[in-house]
Amino acid sequence: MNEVLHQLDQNNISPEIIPLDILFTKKRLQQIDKEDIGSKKQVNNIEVKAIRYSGNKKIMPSGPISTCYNPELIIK
Amino acid sequence: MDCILIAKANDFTAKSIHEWLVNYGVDVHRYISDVEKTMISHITLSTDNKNYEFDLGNSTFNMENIPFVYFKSGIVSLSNITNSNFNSCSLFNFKGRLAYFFTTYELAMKEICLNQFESKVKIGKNNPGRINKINVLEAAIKAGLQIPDTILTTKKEKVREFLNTHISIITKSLDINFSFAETTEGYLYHQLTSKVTLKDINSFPVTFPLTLFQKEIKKIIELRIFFINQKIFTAAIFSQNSHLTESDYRNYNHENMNRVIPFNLPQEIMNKLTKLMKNLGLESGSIDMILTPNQEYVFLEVNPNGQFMANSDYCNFYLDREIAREINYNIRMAI
Repeated sequence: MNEVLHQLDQNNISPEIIPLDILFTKKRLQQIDKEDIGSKKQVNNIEVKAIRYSGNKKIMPSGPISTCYNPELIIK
Repeated sequence: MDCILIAKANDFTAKSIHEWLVNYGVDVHRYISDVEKTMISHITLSTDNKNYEFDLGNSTFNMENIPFVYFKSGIVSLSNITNSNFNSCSLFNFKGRLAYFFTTYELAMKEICLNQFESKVKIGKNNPGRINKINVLEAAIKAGLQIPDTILTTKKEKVREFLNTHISIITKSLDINFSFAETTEGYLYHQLTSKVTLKDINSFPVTFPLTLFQKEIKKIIELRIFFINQKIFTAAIFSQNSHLTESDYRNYNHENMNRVIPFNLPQEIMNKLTKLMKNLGLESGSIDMILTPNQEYVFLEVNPNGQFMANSDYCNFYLDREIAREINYNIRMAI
């Protein structure tokens, strides 16, 4: 089932009020916690590696990347 | 204080710009728009004297002494002046009248606050990054730019006719993109530009809430253009080589990321974009365009608060430094 339709159903909201473009919303990233940084995840059946920003240093992986990060880590 | 930088807590581009500003010796205050609140603490107003003192988060500033404001992301919001619950009050009893009083009182405070911020030399606007796509397309036509054929409709039949005419069509949001987090498995969901097929249309109800559809424009490359005060930086994205990214390059192909290179726009297109941004009253923004196989430049949309650092990194534009330079220059001119 489309995740948007699933969420509408879970929240008792009628799909009739939703503009159709919203139904094309796609799964893109997995949220990560601090301890997940550097770990690899499956998103859309593709392995991606979590990155983070720490101080002035941008920590980049060598392989495919995602832009997942924990907002708390990048507050100056 | 030279500058207030208004940005969300997780806006890492704002952090880079902040660091460049510090490097240039700009005295900058970072206002975290999704955490901190603003309160008017004192105003003096007479014919020959003005003094606006605002509490921004935990710091107090005399707004007269701040020449520059950069609205990077998020909005300046006021502290609630009352925690009382006035919902479902009659308009005529004591509580209802008080609710009405507070509504107008808060509105007046908000207007004072925004007038002060907006009166500064600034980049950006105090809004959550939204812009009306239909109004922008109208402005683009007036600026002489080519746009994709577009319909905004509530009728399945109209979408079917549109597909018959244009062979291939897409849908995207009228305003901001919808996104949400699914908490059980921790996935983030985002709305992107998506192709609409006949099979999709057949599954649509006969009528539905107003939805935007556009002719899909065939492309050689997708152009992501960053505009700041008449300066234009263009990245060309080779997104047509992957079925994942052909409708929207942000639907990343992680196994084989799109090639991104700097690109020189024709002067004529740059002039038209400059005119468009001026007409929209935008000092900066990220503009999406397509270069078609017929060498036509087609304007798609402009995002006032678009993320630009990824393409900046690929193309060595150093846009964080460029913005900091622009702010620094404007502050020096204003003082």
